[in-house]
Amino acid sequence: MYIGYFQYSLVLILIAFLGVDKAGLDRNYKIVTGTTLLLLGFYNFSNNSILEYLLGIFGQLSISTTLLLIALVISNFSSFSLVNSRDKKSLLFLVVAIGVVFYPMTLGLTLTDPYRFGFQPNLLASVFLMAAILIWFLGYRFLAVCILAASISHEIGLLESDNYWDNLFDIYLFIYGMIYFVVAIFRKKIILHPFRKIDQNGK
Amino acid sequence: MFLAVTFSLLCWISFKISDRPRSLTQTSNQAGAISSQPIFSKRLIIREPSVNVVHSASLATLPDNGVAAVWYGGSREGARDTQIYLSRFSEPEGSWQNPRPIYSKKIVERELGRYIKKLGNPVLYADYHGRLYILFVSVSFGGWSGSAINLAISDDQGASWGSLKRLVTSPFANVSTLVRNNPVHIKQGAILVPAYHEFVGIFSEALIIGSSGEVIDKVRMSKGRGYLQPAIAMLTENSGVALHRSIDEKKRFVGFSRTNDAGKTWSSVQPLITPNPDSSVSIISNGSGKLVAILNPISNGRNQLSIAVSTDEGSTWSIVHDLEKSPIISDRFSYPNIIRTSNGNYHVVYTYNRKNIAHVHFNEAWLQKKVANK
Repeated sequence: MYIGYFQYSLVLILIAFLGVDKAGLDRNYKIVTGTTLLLLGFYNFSNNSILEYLLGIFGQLSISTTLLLIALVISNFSSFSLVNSRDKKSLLFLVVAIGVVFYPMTLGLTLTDPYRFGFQPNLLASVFLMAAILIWFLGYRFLAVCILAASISHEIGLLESDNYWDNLFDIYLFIYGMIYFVVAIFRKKIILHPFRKIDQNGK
Repeated sequence: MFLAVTFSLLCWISFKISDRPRSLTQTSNQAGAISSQPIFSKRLIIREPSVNVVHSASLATLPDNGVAAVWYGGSREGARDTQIYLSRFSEPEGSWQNPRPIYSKKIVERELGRYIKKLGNPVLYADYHGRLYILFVSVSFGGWSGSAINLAISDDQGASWGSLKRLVTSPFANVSTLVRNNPVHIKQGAILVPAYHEFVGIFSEALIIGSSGEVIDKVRMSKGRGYLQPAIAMLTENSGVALHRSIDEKKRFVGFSRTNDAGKTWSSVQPLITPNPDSSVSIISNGSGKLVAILNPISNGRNQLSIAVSTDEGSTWSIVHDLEKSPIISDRFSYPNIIRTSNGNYHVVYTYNRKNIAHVHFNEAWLQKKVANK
């Protein structure tokens, strides 16, 4: 459950940081609001803390979402960027590409349930790990790290789920990816192939 | 002296009889070890006066041929004060212990470290080592379709429980997998847990759970929106059958499917000719080719609950006895659960008008007599 509290602490901190950015305030306000919201997360409202409510309602997040949250929190607070736009786009593209087939099937569209393959995932994990090596050498290091970290997490049982897919991605990352690409399409800012060559600025 | 001893004996017997819970009908024979005499008895399990609604009972055998039952109860279905209750039945004494709450919203919240709104659908299972498993659903958001499954194991027949484990069985925020019917043993210490999904689709599933409580596999038994709450009985190590509750208003018949690989794959669900009013069914094998089911064999309402027997591996069923048959359409006898103890006796529990859990106890001799009379 502690990994869940950590994940939703990151969510609260990120919300605080984005709020400060929106208000046009400086970095010191991020420290204050981030700390305040984090402490508020542990405050008990009618027997449960906000973190317990969030964990109860939304469940644990995947390792990829956790890494993305860590990267976004760090890059929002400092000049140190763990993930550039292309990294994020490649992760979201992979999650959306899998998710548009995966979620309808898991919700009962077909008799085959792809979620099942994540319970004894030797073959599935091997495919993803081989893909991660290829992806690493193609320069998509954040995506490769996400796959590697998800595989390690599943092996050591970091999350409460026994399923490999739950370590790899979750419905929230999928929804975020869908919104991201729909908005990008409407703004005509997206190039159809997200794995395009990037310039020196990482754009 | 003789008179004094006789008087004391009579007093003791009358005390034991008056100590028993109220019986719905007469007891036709005393319970006990394997008997060639027909045994049939029926009673209500006494509930706490403060509990208005009880529902969804489940049984498991204990090593001494005793029986344990769990159910949920509260001020109403889905209320936040709902608790999971456990009680034990002693065959020699023919009585149930006072039920005691074993899981409440608060206990589950503490154990899982998260907000829980309500509890429901507990299921019991006893493995070959005498360990008792409890599975039940909890909801944090929305209705029953927001359910997730929890599992705990007891090494002392339910006196205390190990740490509660949240089973993650759905990629969709882990919502909408529920349990209702008893697990069955399959190979290598694993259990096959009948489950179902009700969110966008409504369909039957089965979980394969290892001896440490880890989910090993998840099997889809139907798709779309048609059947749920499968009840599984194994005929051999690999072959088994399942009956399914039907939610299809046009096809109000019990669904039937079969496995030949210990539950890893299932045939498509086919409707039987036995009616089903969108209500839960329960099934058990007697180990020698006979299947016994408890079901509502009517198309509408739940005012009739019957024992059905199949001798052709579940393809056809004969109603051999009505446990309940009321002319009042609003009477509800539902959510049956049947088990068979190692001495060959059958125990059935079901919801009695949502106010009580009823318990029926019979043996093979009684069942054979009923089958012969048909």
